[in-house]
Amino acid sequence: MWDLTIPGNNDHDFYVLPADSGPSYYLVDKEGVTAILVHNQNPYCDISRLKGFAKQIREAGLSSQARNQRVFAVGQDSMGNLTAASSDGWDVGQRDMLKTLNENLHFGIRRVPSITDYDAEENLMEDNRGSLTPLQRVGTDPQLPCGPDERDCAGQMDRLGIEHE
Amino acid sequence: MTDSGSGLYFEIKKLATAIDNLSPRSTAAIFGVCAAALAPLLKRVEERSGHRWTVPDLPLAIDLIKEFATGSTEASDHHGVRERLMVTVPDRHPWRTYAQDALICADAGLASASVSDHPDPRLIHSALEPLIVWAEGRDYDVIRTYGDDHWDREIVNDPLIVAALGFLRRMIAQASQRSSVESLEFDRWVTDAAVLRPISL
Repeated sequence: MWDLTIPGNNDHDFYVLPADSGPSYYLVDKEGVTAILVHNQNPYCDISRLKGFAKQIREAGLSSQARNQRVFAVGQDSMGNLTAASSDGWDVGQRDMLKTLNENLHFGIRRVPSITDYDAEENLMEDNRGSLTPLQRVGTDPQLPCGPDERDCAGQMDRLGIEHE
Repeated sequence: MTDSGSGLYFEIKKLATAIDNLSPRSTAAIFGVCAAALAPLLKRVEERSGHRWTVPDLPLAIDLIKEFATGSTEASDHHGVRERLMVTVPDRHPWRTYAQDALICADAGLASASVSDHPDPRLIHSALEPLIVWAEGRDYDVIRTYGDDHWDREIVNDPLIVAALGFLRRMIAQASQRSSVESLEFDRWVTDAAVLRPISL
């Protein structure tokens, strides 16, 4: 089996060149041997893994207010793209953790800016609005998506067919 | 986020490095001034909640920080008030993040004024976070289109951010020249720190 997946957010293309392709880039060579295009997609992440990312980001907060009073959500769309959002802001520690996840673990998680008064899941949904690659799964930490007595993030995601806990 | 030589987060980390070299009293002054500057935003959240949610300890915390920063008191144990500040959950309000930032700055100031404690100087980010969150909302489409790194590089040219960074740099530079601050100077900095608020109050 061949697994040519390169983790990332579909923002770079990679080409596997024939061994004797010399300095050429990804052109078809004289013999008609074509380079193989490899998209960089994140692997499938289940909700538990998405929650894990959200937890890692949240817990990297520098203050207990940032760690304990903010909710983080990480979502994955139909192309494997990953996005992360906060119910409030992101402090330096939380931003650095996102950078660490992206650099050290080779994930491509894109930070979504916060809209004031939106929950973390709502920020993800707003960011994805109108996208050709709909959000498919969202993991939230430290609490589950809220119900109808609050902003009904769970109901909003249900209506969009987004899997969640 | 670019923090490798330019941009907002690079500037914030430079501020943090400068704060790390300050005396405990000067560090307390920096965070106390920021907490006092953001306190009116938290007060607005209190009012909006019909005073169901209040933080009566915030004025006390700012007073304790100022007393230490100006040399009137010695470092002591502020565990109780810090714990109360950190467990309070701001009421749902568009300015909830601003309220959190006021509390974070107050806690950092109290940490400076505490025996055997020292705040993470990167918490100075919280002094700027209300402006950052406000600017991110304003620039939402720019960030979606061009990404965080682009915004991080460009936002340091925004007049509001320029003013806020400039104020913090000046205050830290002045604080670095002394072991404690004068009460009048503390009050003047609080007035000047209005540039940290995204909304005129």
